[in-house]
Amino acid sequence: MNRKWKSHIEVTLIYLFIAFMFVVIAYPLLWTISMSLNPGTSLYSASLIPEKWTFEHYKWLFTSPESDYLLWYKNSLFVAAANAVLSVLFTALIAYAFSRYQFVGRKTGLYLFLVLQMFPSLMAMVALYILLNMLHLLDSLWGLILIYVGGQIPFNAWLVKGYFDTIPRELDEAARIDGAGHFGVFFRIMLPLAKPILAVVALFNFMAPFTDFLLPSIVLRDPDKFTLAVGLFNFISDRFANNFTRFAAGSILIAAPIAVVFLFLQRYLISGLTAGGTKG
Amino acid sequence: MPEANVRHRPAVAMALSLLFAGLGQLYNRRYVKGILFIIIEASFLLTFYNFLNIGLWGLVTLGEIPMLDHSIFLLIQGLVSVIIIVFAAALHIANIIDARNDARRRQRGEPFPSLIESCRHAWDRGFPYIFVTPGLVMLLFIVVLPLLFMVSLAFTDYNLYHSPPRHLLNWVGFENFKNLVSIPIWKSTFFSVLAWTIVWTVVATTAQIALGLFLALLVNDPRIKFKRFIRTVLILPWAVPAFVTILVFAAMFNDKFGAINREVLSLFGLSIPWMTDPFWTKVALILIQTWLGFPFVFALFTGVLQSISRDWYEAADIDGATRWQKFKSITLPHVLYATAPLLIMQYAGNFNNFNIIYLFNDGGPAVRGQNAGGTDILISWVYDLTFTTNNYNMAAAISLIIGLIVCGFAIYQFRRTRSFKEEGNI
Amino acid sequence: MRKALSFFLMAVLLIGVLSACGPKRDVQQPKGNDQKTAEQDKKPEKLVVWVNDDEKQKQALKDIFQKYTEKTGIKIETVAVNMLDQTKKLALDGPAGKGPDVFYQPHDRIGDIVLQGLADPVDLGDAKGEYSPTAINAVTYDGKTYGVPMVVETYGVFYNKNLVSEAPKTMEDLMKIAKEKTNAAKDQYGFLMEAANFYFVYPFFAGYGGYVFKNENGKYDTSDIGLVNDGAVKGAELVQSWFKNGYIPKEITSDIMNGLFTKGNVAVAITGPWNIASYKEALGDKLATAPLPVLDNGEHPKSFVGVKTWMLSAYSQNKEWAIDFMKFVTNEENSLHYYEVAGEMPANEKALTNEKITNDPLIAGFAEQIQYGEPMPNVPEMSQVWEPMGNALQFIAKGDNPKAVLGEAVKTIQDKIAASGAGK
Repeated sequence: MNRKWKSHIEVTLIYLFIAFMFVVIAYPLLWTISMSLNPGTSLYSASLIPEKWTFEHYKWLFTSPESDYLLWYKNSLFVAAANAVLSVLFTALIAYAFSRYQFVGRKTGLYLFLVLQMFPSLMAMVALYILLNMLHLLDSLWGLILIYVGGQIPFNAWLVKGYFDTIPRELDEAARIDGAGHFGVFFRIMLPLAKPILAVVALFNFMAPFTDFLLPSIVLRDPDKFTLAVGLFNFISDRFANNFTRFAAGSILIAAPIAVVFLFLQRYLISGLTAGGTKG
Repeated sequence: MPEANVRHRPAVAMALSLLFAGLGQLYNRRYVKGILFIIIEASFLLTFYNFLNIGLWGLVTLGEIPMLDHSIFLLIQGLVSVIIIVFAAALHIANIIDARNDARRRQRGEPFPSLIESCRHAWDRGFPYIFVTPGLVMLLFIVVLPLLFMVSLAFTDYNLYHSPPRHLLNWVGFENFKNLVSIPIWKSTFFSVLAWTIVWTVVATTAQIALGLFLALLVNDPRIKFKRFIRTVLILPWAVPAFVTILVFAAMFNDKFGAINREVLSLFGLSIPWMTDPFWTKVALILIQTWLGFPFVFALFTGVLQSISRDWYEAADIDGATRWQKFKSITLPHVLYATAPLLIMQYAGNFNNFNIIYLFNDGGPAVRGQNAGGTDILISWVYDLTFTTNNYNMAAAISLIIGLIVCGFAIYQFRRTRSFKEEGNI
Repeated sequence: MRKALSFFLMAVLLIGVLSACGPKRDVQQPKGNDQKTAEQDKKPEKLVVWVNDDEKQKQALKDIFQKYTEKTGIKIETVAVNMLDQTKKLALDGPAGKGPDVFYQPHDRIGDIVLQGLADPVDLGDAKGEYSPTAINAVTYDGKTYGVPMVVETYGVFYNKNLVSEAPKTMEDLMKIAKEKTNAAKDQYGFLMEAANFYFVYPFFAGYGGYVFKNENGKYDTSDIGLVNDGAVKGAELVQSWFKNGYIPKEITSDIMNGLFTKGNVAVAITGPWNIASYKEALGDKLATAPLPVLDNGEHPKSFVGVKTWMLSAYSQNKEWAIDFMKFVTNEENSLHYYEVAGEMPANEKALTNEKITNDPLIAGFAEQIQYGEPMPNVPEMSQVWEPMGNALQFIAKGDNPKAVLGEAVKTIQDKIAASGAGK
């Protein structure tokens, strides 16, 4: 009896703590939503429950002739999708080689991947700019994608390699006996079995362009080519004329789809990360 | 069937191939291969000669005529040239080794594989290289090149008063590093910023890991229902772009007008100077980072917890272990050991977590007698130096130091983790 | 062994390439300037112009650029780049060959820009007389005119007629309003300004005799900083009293102030004309403006005057036409059009004295204040001033001793100027 009570109290406490976390998580998010529904431009005249509800900011984003929001959305989706697909492909190729073959510089390569992530990339922007200029890819979404795909390799190759290592080698040997070549093993064995981690990589890279505003603001000039993060950041980066409420509205429309994709892939996220990051 | 030819000398083949790719192969009477190599090297030289020439000249001199030569552009071209040359050199070495091997075969009178056979052989042996090459090329140009650029800048005098195109840069050796530890304004700021950077990294990261672990344990409890739903909500902060949430938090933490003081703390009659007192700003930053960072750790740990075998706990139960003992000697070691590499990366990431410092309060509030803001970490200080005061050389020097610190720490930790120890056994 | 070999090979290869060094050209010969002029006279197909990323400004310029195209047949390619980001981007875009012919900058950055070699001087010729002398002063650096001034602006007093019937004439009036109308607990304020922002606070320093850099005959002496002299300290004490008396909360930001003012909670606000549009939308005809109130020594506070100016990129291939274009955009007619659409005060003298502007009650207050103002220094050292002074004001707001704080700030400014590599 006593034990049962103790257990009950414990469970209640756990639920209480989780409820507390829910509030902590929801509070700022609800604030963002209500900010987007407040009239005016100022963040501070906003209140959690707006006196006057208004959809004017959303309406402005979609209907105002001065608003490029839909265009930015399209650009972001394009960059995000291309980045996700290409990153998975390149990363998986590299990880496959590192996981299954012996070659000169293999161990050095693994260390290199690690080391390269550690250096701050802030000052790298100028170099990337000049590099893109040499390739005639400035002010182009493909240039941006190229940099994203290249830049993510160290972290993700390492993650995917870890996952590949957990796939038993007997499987590729069996496939080889059946006559599969290098690519055969890659496409028929490795990729399907590594779905969880590949989903994670895809997700990370899908999200990145939505949140990064530094790089695109250096690479892109034409407002028609802006991604959402740059465009939205411009709403509030003006020293004298911030428009926080509009920013909030624009942000929610970014966050919502990402959150949905995220939650949809949750299962992969948990299993993929665990195995990839930990080598089983 | 060729006979053994003792007079055929590998050294000659190597010397010839060193001189120009393919010559050694011709000496070995491997005509097709030789001509192919000659064509490749010739076309490489024809295509790149000018680019490499200017690049290397620019790298050494950084330009000679202001307004006409742009040191930064020359520097980058120089670095690109170095990368291309290293690539070419690697291929050239392969060509020399090939000449040697063929020559030795000839010396011993062994038969040569046919072209098709050697192609297949190359495909098999060279396969990993082919797989790695596209990614590697991107990596070299997109990650390594900018890194080299930054390192180079640390050894130049690039600041506002030596800005191209009006001025040319000069190589100054280790002067920037000397200044960093000798000129008072740099020295005092550098060390105080470094100290807070370390505190920030340790506390914020540990807090997010602890909270993530705690929640993962709670939700994993078999008595808890609606697990899927709870997990979904707990992952939510991760799914919202961080720069949005940080800005919203910045508004909410405003001392006088923010929601935290007005709506939450006022219930308890409190008002905390979140944005104007360095101590409380630091507290706020750590709280926000915990909010932003725990879902990742939570997701990670949830996965690991599910993979711990039940048997361990059953065995412990038989021994009459308490819950705390079970946690301490089964769960915690297992979880930490398994996820160490990713956790180390969390620490490294926070060390360079520019977004939150910059967006929350721009490194502020100010502290008397200090050059950087009260909550500036090294990376946000670098940003300030680069973009508001154009001290590119110092910014690069500090970035380099940051990189070395984090690398040293990370490599040291990584070598102790399982993944790397097992690396040798493959 | 193999390693040693490969190192040797690399070295050989490197030396081989290095030995054939450098571009072949005659170092003695500068760029052929005389040939270029001939090219420049040729009419280009288009000019690339960077404008500030602001909806109203873009809209106003669109019409003006269109007229230029009609007049000359030259197309104008407009790229919107946030004004404060333009220099950073030009430093990359210019040499890469993607830069504009003409860009748009606040004049206080001219020193920086010239130092980097990003802009060329503009010979205005007879047209120089068409611009207000303050504006021409502001864009003159090292004796040369860099740029064609477009807009002059300074800050002034906005007041809400619902709360005060007339503008505060003197500082005493203002303090009285602040005392009577402020009720911070109810978010009611008599007087608000960004009092921890050096840009806005400077007039109160300068009104008592403070200065940033000593200005003699149009040249700034950056070794003589007047931010801790008696005048500056007196100004700082005045500013501090606002915080001490609880008139202005030290957490104030422009966003908070604008939010409160547009809600109708603030009687008097000191800010710039860029807020006219949003304030007017909120308060309608209850909004009025005035120059800054007179200090107790009888002086008008010397506000910073900012001049936004078109500048000629050093990388432009069409300099003659670019100058022609800049003059066209800033002529009387176009300046007036720009004022009507974007609401900014023109630097063109005739336009500024046009009755369309002098009769506009909301602009008149600022137009008057400009007479008392002085241009922000345009020397590159100015960029080292903002942050230390902003910090000093934060400490002053918290109640630290103004003299000590300002002394430290000046020391920091001097150190920063030295550390930035000036004079090396």
